[in-house]
Amino acid sequence: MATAQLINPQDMAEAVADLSLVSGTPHERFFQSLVDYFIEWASANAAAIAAGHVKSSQALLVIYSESPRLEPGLPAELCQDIEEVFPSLYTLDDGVAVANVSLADVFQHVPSFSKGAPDALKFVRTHLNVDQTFALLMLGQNRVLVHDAGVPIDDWLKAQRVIKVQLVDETEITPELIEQQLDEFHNQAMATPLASHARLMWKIEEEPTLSVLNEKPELHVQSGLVTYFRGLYRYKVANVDEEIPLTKGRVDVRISRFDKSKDRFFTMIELKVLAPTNSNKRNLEWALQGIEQAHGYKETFQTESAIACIFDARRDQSVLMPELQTDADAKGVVLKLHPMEVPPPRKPKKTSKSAALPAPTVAAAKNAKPASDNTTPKLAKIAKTAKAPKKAA
Amino acid sequence: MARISQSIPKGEREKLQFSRWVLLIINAAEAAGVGRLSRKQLHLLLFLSFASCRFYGIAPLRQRARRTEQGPYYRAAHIALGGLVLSGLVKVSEFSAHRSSEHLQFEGSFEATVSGLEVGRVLRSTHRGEALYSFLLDLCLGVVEGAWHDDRKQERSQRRGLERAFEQDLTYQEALNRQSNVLFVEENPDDQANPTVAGLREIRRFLDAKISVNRRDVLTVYQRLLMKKAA
Repeated sequence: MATAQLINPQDMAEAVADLSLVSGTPHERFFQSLVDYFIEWASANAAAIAAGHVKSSQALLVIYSESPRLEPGLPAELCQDIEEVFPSLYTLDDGVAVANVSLADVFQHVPSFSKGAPDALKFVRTHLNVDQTFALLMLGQNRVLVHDAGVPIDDWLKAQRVIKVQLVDETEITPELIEQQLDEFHNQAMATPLASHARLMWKIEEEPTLSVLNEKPELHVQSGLVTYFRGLYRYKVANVDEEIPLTKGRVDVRISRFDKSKDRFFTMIELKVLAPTNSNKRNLEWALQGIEQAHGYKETFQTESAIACIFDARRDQSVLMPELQTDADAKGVVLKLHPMEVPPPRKPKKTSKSAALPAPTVAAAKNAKPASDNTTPKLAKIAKTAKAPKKAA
Repeated sequence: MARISQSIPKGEREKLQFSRWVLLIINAAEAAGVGRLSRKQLHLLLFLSFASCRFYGIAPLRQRARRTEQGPYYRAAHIALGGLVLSGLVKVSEFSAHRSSEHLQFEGSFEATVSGLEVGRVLRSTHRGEALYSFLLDLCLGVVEGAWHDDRKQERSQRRGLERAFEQDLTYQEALNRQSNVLFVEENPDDQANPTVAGLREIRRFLDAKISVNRRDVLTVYQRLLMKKAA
């Protein structure tokens, strides 16, 4: 009785409004929240934008923190005069803010950049470090430049991961459009080792050790892809299925759209990455498994298209796999086979002077300057590694 | 080498598990934007977390809340909070003691500290710790996006009290209706579903027919329903 009083269709239908519907890792959810903020901000400030009051260089830098209040991640001198911000007012559009994952807690530390984006990039170089997650909202350009923790600041300043804010209406979404966007994502983010996502996926060793992929490459692609889609579409139609068991296993990314008669249709995307450390036989099996899973999703109610998106990171990609297309055609699955360039190992460092120096110790690392040293994060990393306990059951 | 958990007596291990749960829930409240929790809010949130954790495949801890005039009361939380506050992992303010001969109660507000966040990150470096924190963070994110949805433009001090929403929890209401001093989340460990979990599953079914959601969204809708009922 109490359950029926609390949980009834009418109240549930009302309670669904304005759900954030973010998904993926906390960092990706932070980026998705920022994209949502960007879209809502543009809507709330449409008149000012139309009147040309937003310059192309206008920039808002937002830094992610688990506790913006306690751990702003900025030097003390920038934490003296901070102001709490209410994102729902859509007045935050310049300067530097620190926010939590959902933007429920936002504090502004720098009210504005006098020269816009160039000042913002100088701020990043001076005050932020490789381990921080942040994003630069280019409000006059419909772009969000995001920094993933782990990307050296100097590398990021040269080439940023870009989320385009395009506001494609859901009635315009078709499986063919999604296929095109997958191709674009591959070109921008995955094709070369320095591309915005690929650079986080590779573990590049010194010669003669060959480069390998980091753990769980599919999860990495999944999170980035859903954020990419988040920027493209006006509404929150793309998400990561974090835990829902479907008829045939778990889908990696799903995109829902409604046609003019309000019927819902899904496009399911199954992601697989072929590893350079696996044999051709094993990689072939892995790719075929992806096609089989995509085929399974087609049995899910309202699914109009299933795509097996295979990223080929094998060292020798000249060995073709014609079975994949044959199998995909037979199962009615769209096959996207995207090559990933395998990075060569690093050249050995010259040993003349460096060999004479002692190796950095954990004690030295602990005494090392922790932040603001953007170009040499190695000692700080050693300290972090030394402290981090191993994963246990 | 024996696992640490096996070398610690069961009672001590349960105290440690409870301390971990309390620290992580306070950290999650901070990370989600709930911020400082009053004693009553904290104990209610603990009850709510135990009532809903099976929705995430996590078993609740064995400790049970007592019924008091001041709301549900976990004696283990009292002890855990004492240790966490004295070690600097949790900050207490507005502290005052209750004159209770039966319960060791006090009032106060509890919030995260930098040290507590750092220790919390260490606790999250195990798979179980990370899974627990992920659930608690989702729960607290659901509180902010759900229970405070209509108050998001308000100063925190002017937002509606969270305890009013938490008190509407289905399992808590069922526990209150029993004539018992103990507030059960589940009567025995074989119970895989209580009214809260059943309700969350019902919300899940409803949402799945309309939009693509994850468990976090289900918790958010539940919080909105609780706050609507409390209004």
